[in-house]
Order: sequence, then C-alpha cells, then structure tokens
Amino acid sequence: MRPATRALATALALAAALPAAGATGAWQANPQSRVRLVSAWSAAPASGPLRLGLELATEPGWHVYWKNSGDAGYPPYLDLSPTPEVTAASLLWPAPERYALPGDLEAFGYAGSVVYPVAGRLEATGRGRVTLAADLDYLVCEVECIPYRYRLELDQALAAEGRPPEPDPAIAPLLEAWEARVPVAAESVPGLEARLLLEPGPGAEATLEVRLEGAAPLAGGPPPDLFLEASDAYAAGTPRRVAGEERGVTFRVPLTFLRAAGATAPVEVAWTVTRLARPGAGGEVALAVEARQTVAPAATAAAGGEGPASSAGTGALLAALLGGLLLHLTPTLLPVLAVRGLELRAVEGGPAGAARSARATAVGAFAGSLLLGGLALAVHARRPGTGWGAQLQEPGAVALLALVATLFSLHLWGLFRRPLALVPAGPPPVGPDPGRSFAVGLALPVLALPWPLPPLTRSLGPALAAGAVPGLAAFAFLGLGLALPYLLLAAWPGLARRLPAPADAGGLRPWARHLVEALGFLAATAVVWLLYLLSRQLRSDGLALVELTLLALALLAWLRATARRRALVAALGLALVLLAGSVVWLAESRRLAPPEATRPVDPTVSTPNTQGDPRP
Amino acid sequence: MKPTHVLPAALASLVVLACAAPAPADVAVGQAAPAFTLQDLDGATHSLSDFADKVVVLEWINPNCPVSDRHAREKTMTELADRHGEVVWLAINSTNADHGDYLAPAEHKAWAAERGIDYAILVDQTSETGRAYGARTTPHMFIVDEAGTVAYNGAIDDDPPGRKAKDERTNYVDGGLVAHAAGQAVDPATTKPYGCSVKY
Repeated sequence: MRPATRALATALALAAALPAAGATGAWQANPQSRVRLVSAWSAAPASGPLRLGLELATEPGWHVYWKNSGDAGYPPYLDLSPTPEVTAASLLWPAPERYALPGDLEAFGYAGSVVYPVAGRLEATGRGRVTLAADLDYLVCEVECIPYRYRLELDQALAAEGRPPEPDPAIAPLLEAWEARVPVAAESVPGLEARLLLEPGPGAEATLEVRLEGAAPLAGGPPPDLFLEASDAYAAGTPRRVAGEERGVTFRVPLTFLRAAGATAPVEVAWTVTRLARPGAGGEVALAVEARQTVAPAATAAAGGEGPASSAGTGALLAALLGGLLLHLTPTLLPVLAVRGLELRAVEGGPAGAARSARATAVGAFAGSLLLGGLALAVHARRPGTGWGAQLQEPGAVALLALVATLFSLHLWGLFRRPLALVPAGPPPVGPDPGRSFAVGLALPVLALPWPLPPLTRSLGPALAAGAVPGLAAFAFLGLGLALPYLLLAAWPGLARRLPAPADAGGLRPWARHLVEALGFLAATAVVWLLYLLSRQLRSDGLALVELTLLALALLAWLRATARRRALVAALGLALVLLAGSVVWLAESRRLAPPEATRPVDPTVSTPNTQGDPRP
Repeated sequence: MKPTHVLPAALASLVVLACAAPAPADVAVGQAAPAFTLQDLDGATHSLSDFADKVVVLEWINPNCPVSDRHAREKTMTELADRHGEVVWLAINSTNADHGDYLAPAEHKAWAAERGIDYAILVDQTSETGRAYGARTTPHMFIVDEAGTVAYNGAIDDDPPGRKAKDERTNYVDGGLVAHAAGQAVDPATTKPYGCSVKY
C-alpha cells in the first residue's frame, strides 16, 4: 500500500468510527450508496473559506460521476443555496477512474469512496452554530442507473469570539487527502510542458495528441490516464497511451467532430491527466494535472501536403524505411535473415538461383507490408488514432501474436517443418523455390508485429491519419526496409557464397542445425515479451489460460514430430485450434481483463443497512 | 487448410478482431442521417426514408432507465410531440434482448399506454441503428431535417437531474424545432446527452 493510500485508509477508518455528529452530517443511505456532508472544522471560523466535503460511498460495482460523466450518466449537483451563510459554493472534482460499460461505452467517476471537496465562503454571524444545508441530486450507476435526491445537513459549531478555530482530527486529513487528488493547473507544475496536436482525418474524424513533456508516470499501480471534459464540438473516443516514451507521457485520442465540416477551426480542449508522479516526491505521490487549451488543426494533413507538410511526410517515409531495416535485428526477424542467408548458400543453380529466391522473399515482404497497410487503414477508419503499436494494446491480438511467435520458435527447433519450411531438411542440392521464398517474405511483416520500434510508432500513426495514400506509402517504405537485405542478397548473390556451406550430402551439418535451434531460443524471447504485455492486460487466470494454450501447442508439435498416429495428431490439432480460438476470443472480448469496474470497496466503509428511497 | 496458409489466416483473423467491436460512430450535425428500417411494438415497419419530406425526431428510450422513465412520467416527450404536430416522433429502444432492462413487446406496450405515449416505439434488436447514430444514453435525441440531414444531436434539455420546474428548463429539441421551422439554424446543434447508458 502506498503511503498516501494508507493515510487515506486510516483517515477513512477514523471517520467511520466516529458518530455522525460534530464535523459530519447524518448519512443518507440507499441500497447502492450513502452520502453525507463532512467538515474539516470541529469549530469553524465564523468567516472564511469553506472547508467542506461531500462524501459518497458506493456498494461494490456501483460508481458515481466526475464532472464529465463519460458516455452516460451525469455528475452530482450540489446546491448550497438553502444556506444563506455560504456563498460561491462549487464542487471540486478529484482525479477520476474509467469504467467500461457494455457496448464500448465508458463512464468516468469514482467507485468505493469519494469525497468531493466543496469550495466556497462561509460568513456566519457568530451565534455559536450554523446549519449547513444543501440539496443534492446524483446518479449512481452499475450498468443500471438510479437517481437520488436528498437534503443534506451538517450542524457546524463555530469557534467562539477570540478563540482559534479547531480542525477536526479525523475529517481534516480526510479532506486534505481528497483535495490533494484534485488536479492542479498544468502550467503551475515546474518542468512540465503540455503540447496539443490535432491531426484532421477523413470526414469528421481527427486525432488529438496530448503530450506532457517532463512528466513521469506514477511508480507502481495503473498507468496514467487522460480524461477530456465534455465538448459541444466533438465526441472523444478512448485515449491510447503512446508506448515506448522515455521523457514525458503522451496520449492519442480519436475525436469525432459533431459538425460535418470536421476539424477546420481551432477547438478548445479541457483535459485532465491522472496518475503522474509529483515532482520531487520520489515518484510515489500521485499528481493529476489539468488545462484548458485551444488547438488548431495541424497543417500536416490539412490540404494534401505542400511545402513543410510534404517534407514532414518525407520524414515519416524515411522513418518507416529505417524502422523496416531495424526490424531485422529483432528476435523474430533476425533468425529468418540468418537462416535465409544460409539457405541461399545451398540453393542449387548457383548465384542465379539464389538471386531468384532472394528476390521472391523481397517481393513477399513488400507485398505483405502493403497488405498490412491496407489492414491498418481499415482499422484506422473504424478507430482513428490507430498506429504501429495499436496491435499490442488489444489482448486478443497480443495472444494471437504469442501463438504465432510460439509456432515460429517450435519451427526453428525443428518440431514443425511447415508453414515456412525455413529450415532445410533434406540434403542439398535444394532447388530454387520462389513460391516458398515468397511465402517467407509475406510472413516477415507478421513476425514484425510484436516490436513497437520508435521510428515506426512515431511515423505510421500520423501517416495513417493523413489519409489512404500517405498511409499506404509509409507501409510501402516499411516494406522496402524489410525487403532491403534480401534485395542486397539478390543483387550480389556472391554475398551468400561467403558463408560456410550449411549442408553436405548427409543433410544439414550439425553446427548449422545447432545454430538454427539456438535462434529458436532467440525467437522464444518474443513469446516472453508478448506474455509480459499480456500480464498487464489480463487477469492472472486469463494469462494462465493463454500460457496453457501455448504449452498445448508445443505438446502437439512434439507429438507430430514423434508419433506416427495421424488421427491422434489431427484430433489434437483440431482441439488446439478450438482452444486457441476461444482464448483469443476471450482475451479480445475482455472477459479475461482485470475487473476494473468492480474494484473492491474500501473495507473500512461499512455496509449501510437503512433502506433509502429512490426519488419518486 | 494447408499449413502454408496459417500466416495469411492469422493476418485475416487480425482484421476480424480489429473490426469486431467498433466504438459507436457519432453522427455529425450536417451529415446524412443513417438509414434504418425497424419494426414497432405491433410489428409494423418504419423506415427513415418513409419520412423523406418531414422533420423527424429520434428519441432513444428505455422504460427501465429511471432517467428515460422520468421524462415519460413528466410527459416531456409526449407534450413536445403534440406541440410540434407536423414533426414525426420516433422512439428507438436499442436494449440488448439479453439485458435485464429488455421488455417484450407486450410489456413495453403496457408501459407506453400507462405513460400515455402514442408515438411509435421502434425495436432496434441488433443495436445496429443505435451504433450507427452513436446513441449513448437514454434519452439521446436527434433531429433529422426534411433533407435527411442531422440537425441536432444531444440531450433533451439542460437539466439532467430534473431539479428545475419543467417550464424553467431549456428544452434543446423544442428550441431546435422552433428555430428550424422559422428557417433558422438550430443552436445549439450539439449538446452532451445525459442519462443511463444504452444497454447494448
């Protein structure tokens, strides 16, 4: 438990132990929640800023709302006008959480326990006590929503003339803990700079980038999150954190403009980022920041790209090319390059045959990248903001990639000869086989998917947002980068001749077989990396299910390689396909995700046993 | 399936996965309203294209949503539909049949009769129409003009908890219909809808 959380829990425990008198009003309770006013003062100064809070506690699974309730619901409305001594009262909004609702809807708010601090001024006439009365309307939701209306009252003692005010020992720290959760203005945080970028997409779509330079995520616990306030100009989708950032925290969020004209004029964006580390506090104290900024649509994609826009486009293409080249150093593509090099050495027909095979792989890599680009455009049309790296944020896609990477490792270990037949099995001479070489090339972009290399994450998303032509162009350059080593081998087939011959008349030489098997271990690190990603997206039992599927895949491979009973292998294969399919489906439909919407309520809050009345 | 086809198949599954759960598309003001053909509680078919030369108000409805039901009890919608007799008023219920809020047509009709609702309530069984409009809440309101273009997308009024007296609320749909009838632009044309989530 983090110190702040522990302090809060202690404060809550103390608060729960106290009778509903003095610095707290009486609870108003209903089956889903209970609510009361709390004051930081046991004896308040007759005149001064209000130190009041609205405490709401919900039953497990239920939540109440932030100032932007998200796709549904509405925030609580507190009206202090029944108290003439209080002026300029308003609710403050601590950093919210995100809750998933059916139908890809989301709610922003609080589950368990929340204290909304109330800002305002108290001007009492000093008669010893004042009754703070407020009318509250709020909606408490699970998937169902129930509205409630209450008159809340708190009997506030005032400090006698000439006596200092007395803070309440339980409520003052509780209120301070929640005040500390209220976002502070981003510009007031030293060393933090917030930059907004709006990339217009097709039609009414756009992608907003919120980049906080100099910000660091809170150590431990869930990652930072971005919340936008409601806007009449646009509807916002789910933000995605840009992966692999070293300095700062960046989010990309798809916007749909509610006017058909789309993003043509500057728009005002009010945003909050939660779960940052408070500077100078060792990374363990949470900070939420907020700002209201106006952002104009970026010039990059505004008018098809002339001048600076097109040079930015060239930069993206070169980055994609570089990314494609660098991918050859990743644990899944390096083995392919190494094995292909050795294989070309052994191709019959000498340099000409090797050149033909290498060319076929290069063409396959290019074609595969274009196919992937088409797929990415289709996904982008449905989910603006998608770029390279989006596949690693979908548990289903990550599980599928883990299956593919496992299959690839098993292949290198010699347990599966197919699908790529990358590992030469028989004795040379191996005939040139352009069809198979093409298939190997086609597989390269798929094997590249686990790796969020920065040149690709930075360039492909904006290129996709700029439209179909720049998007496909960027993927073509990625394909060029993937094809380049093979094009070199095709141009100078003599390069492969410099390698030692991997096979002789007896088949693959032992050193070559050992090398390929060792490369299988390298490829297996990709599986570890993908399981690591999944461990942050799935519950532990969900992760175990995925791992069991991978183990079953390995078992099947071993049976295939050793057993001769075709029927058994076929039946197991079918069972495995079903298992793998259901695991991917379960992961994708988030049935294995951590149950965020039903986080346990703080145990120090007891269950209300009084039956409240829903509003008639 | 030949083993060599495994990787293209994996690629194809990625497409399917990526497209399986699209977020609701928000229909923009000024865009063509998505077409639909849905049955009402009596089984009669209604298409948006049937009302090509009329102004149509769409109300996302759910009798089991307290916010939607409050407006039914307060007659917010029925009185407004009567006040603008020239306008076609259609309620759409996109509740998933597996959800606890789902009402069979007979129960749904009984509720409508009790609340005095006389306009058609359409059943969006597949939730396709709700997603096409990006309907998020009950109620969520749209005005579609004579040209089939969305003229308003948002809340019914400015009072989510219903704390004001009815005549003190700003009813955005009423204002929009009056402005549109007078040949003026609907303003505001977009607001944030409030209420229960649509039970997709």
